[in-house]
Amino acid sequence: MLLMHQNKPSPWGALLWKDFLQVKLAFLVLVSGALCMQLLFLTIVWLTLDLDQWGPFVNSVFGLASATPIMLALACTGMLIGHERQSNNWAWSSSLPVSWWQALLSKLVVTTLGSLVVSLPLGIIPTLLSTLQKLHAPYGGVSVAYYSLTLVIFLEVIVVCFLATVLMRDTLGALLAGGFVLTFLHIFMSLPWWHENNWMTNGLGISLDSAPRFWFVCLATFILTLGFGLLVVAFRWRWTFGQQSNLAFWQERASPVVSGHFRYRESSGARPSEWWMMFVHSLRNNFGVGLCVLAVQSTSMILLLKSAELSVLLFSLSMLVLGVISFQSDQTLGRFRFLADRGVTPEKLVLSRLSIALVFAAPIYVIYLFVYLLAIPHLDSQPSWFVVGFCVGPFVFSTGALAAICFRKQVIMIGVAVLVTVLGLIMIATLLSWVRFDEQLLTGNFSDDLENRLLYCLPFGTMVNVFALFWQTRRWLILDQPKLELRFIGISIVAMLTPLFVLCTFGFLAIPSISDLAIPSELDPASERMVPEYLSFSEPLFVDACPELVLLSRYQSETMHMIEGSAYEILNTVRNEVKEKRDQSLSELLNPFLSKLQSIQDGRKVPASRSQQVQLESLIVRTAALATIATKEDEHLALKLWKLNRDLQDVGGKVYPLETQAARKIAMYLLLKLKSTDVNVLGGDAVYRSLIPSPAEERSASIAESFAVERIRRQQLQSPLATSPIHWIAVTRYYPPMRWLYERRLVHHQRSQRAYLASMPKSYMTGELRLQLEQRFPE
Amino acid sequence: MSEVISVNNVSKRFGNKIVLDNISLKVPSGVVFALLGENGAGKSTLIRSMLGYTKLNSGSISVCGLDPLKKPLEIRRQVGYVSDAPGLYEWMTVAEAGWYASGFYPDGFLRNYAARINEFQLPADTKIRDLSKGMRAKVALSLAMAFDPELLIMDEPTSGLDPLVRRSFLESMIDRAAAGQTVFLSSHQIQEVERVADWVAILHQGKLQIVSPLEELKSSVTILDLSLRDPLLALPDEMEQLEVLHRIQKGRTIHMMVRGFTPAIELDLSKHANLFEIKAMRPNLEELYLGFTQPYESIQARERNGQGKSNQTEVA
Repeated sequence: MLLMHQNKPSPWGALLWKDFLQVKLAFLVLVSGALCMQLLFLTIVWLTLDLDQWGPFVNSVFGLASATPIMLALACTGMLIGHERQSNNWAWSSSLPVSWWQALLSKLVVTTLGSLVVSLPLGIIPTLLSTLQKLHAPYGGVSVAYYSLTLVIFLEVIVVCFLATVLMRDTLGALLAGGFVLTFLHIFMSLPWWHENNWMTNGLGISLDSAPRFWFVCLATFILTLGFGLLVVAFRWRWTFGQQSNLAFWQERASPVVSGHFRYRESSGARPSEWWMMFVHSLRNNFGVGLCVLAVQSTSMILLLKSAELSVLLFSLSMLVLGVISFQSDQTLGRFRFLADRGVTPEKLVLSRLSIALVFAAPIYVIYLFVYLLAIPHLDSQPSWFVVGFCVGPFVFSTGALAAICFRKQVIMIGVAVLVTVLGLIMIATLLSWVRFDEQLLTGNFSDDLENRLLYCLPFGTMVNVFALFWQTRRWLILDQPKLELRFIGISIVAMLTPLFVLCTFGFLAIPSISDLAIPSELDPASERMVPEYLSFSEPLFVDACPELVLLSRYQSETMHMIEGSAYEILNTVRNEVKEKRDQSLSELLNPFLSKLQSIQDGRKVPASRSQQVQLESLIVRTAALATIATKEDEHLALKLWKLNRDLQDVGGKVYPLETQAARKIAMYLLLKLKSTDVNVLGGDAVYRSLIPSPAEERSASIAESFAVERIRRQQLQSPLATSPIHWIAVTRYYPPMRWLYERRLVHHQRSQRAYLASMPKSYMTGELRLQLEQRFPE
Repeated sequence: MSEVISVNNVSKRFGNKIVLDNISLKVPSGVVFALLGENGAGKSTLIRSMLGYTKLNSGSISVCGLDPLKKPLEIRRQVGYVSDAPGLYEWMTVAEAGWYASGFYPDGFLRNYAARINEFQLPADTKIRDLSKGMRAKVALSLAMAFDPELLIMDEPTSGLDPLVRRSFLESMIDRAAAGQTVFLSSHQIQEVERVADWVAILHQGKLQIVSPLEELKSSVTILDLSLRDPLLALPDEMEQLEVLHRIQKGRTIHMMVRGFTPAIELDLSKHANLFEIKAMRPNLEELYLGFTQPYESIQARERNGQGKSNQTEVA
């Protein structure tokens, strides 16, 4: 037999082997999941963004990889302690001649090393991109103190979660309780910096500000030491005398008093109804974990008052956990058979479980609303985040509940639910911004109502999940140990695609008819030209869509009222040519237009009248806007346009506020788009000075230097530009309503632009216009 | 005969509930010692105390000459333990479980383990999760016996085993005892225990009712079936000399389990006018178990409280 030829392992070898294999699946799932996510982000960004734009964005996305070790640490805690105790492996292990400290050390080593080693494969892609200079060095510029602090917090998470899981029998409840304790401790630690703006981030230890670092590290180390001491004591107790002890929130006690009480009630005929018993049963299942979720949510929200994004993330996470706990007790304890044998219907089972989970969800929604109302004055982002939370919350909740029905192991059901939710939200985010990936979901900057409507269609996905809950529960009650894992994947895909399907197929109901459109009477006469353009969009033009056309359409809609007749006609011709000559570059097509502009500029005199002044202003704005558009394709064309813009401003003299405000902004924007080599070819730093309008008082070396500094800073923090969905056209061929949706979106866009023009004040040349321009053409 | 296990005045309390009440027993080496008792009698607690898993409120335990609370690791190196619910790692194969456990025991473990799983016809490459309950029990037994322990402690070891394997397993216990090793087991399978046990202890509601060699116990206890002419008349005075362990009266028939029944007493009883038939026989272990777990005093007390009105249901 093979066994006889194998060598006996050493005690340490056996323990480490066992612990590693115990978490191998979680390790593989997390690493492969995180790698897939990296590649997914990379693919999306590669398809939708220009190379020069996606580096910083990808850098921030890869920062998410740093969360993977924490997730693995939590998974290890769940598998090595929680799962071992629940499946009684703990009892067998402790019956072997293994000392408690060997077992503890082995688990800690596997958790810590595994969590750190997991960072290596996740760092491959960022490092590769960094080497190829597509990305800033990952975590570059981070101080040693920051690393040490991160390590201390990481160890804190491990120790506190280990301790909680050793003490409590329910893994999920223990991890939540650990999270609550950790959050509470950090709030406590951050109290000395309450008066500072960044007290919350200091409290979480995520600030790069080194001022409070020493005390923070001292406190964190103290907590870590104390936690480790408690862990040692608790582990030893649990390994030896405390195996049978139960520190659950709700202990079952069959005291004579209770027995007598039930006997009395039964004999008196006041027997509780089945519904009542199901509710009580569900409450007992979820009481502890629900309380933990409430505690963590309410405590953490204080920390996240200033961060809408994190608030929504935490809110979604809480919803996910509540969804999971609604069925996980029945699942892990195998109570489905018990309930089925007593004739419980799927409706009673699902409704009783969901309603109790929703009892805990309701105060969380209230807390969320309360925090949001508190935070609104401090929030930079738009209120859309609140809507995101409210729409995403039920979807995440139902996904968690479905995962709890379909998977048996607690850790796996949570991991799968998180994975599916994240992937689903990525997909929804991608679709939300309509076949182009930008930061709309991440920044809460929803400018387009149609895009919001996809968010509002999420409840349809939730309905799919809820329907599937009844369906799968019925299978649990009818069949013995059904395998539902593959069903979960199928249902999740359907649930994620349903909102898109509903929006594509029935989205036309939300589009107002042309006759319903109110055309403001005070519109600039020039903008009336927009109307036929708008109508022309109602015919399918997706096939003809190309980046140039879309950009020109936007350009026209935004600046048409400023363009004088002849230039407009030329531009319109260019637009038509773009339709027909799709292979020609934008610069070639724009050449006649530029020549016309040049001739206008050449013949321009200092405006003597108000009308001339308005025309000049329109040209200045138009050239600036065109230059902005041109940066997407041809930086030299952009530079040329900007120089034209500068010349026009020279003609105008000092009468334009634009020359020192918006012009500088646009110039800086253009320069940021130029590569360093371009700047050097054009004359190095002198370009900055030359590009600044001559009458400007700021034209000095110091300003140019500030530009250079700003340029570097922006390159690091650059956000992606909204670009054309050209790469996704093929996708829509498989489902015509998708194409129709896109067309409707274009129409809607034109309509909103027209409304914008109508609402824009006449003082568009002031700083207000500058702000509007910045919004139109975000950096 | 030296003692492998020595339990002295052990008491254990969980909250207000007394689980072990002043227990004292000694297990000699080279015997099969059976611990019997109803559910919740304290058998598992006593076994866990022997392995150092439970702190005692009073008393002391010595296993293989070691204090379980002070030397738990040494005890686990010398004692094989099979719990009532062995929590083997389900993701391991049968072979992997042995390989893992061998890391903590001396050389020879793997060879013995391979022989055991071969004997039990266990598939080495099958994962534990794919095994039936009985096969899991066989794996647990193989693991506990693979290092050839001086003392084997088993809590319900045969539950889930099929009759053939159970018989073979119990016979192997006899072989172990014959080889000088000690087997301490708790079980509900009284008839099977009777075949192999040399010593027996009966635990009832935390109290030790009897500890004795099985044959000695059987010879000291007698089952009496008395047929009365008139059930309303008192029993003969000779009956007061007997220690009544158990008694059921059904009409004119009295079923009793007594200690101290001698041929002389039988002769005296046979002359009594109210008794027209006396049957005396040696009890088996099951009858002994029932006798000690349903003592006469408790039946009398229930009768006094009016709970034992029916003279047919006291044992049930």
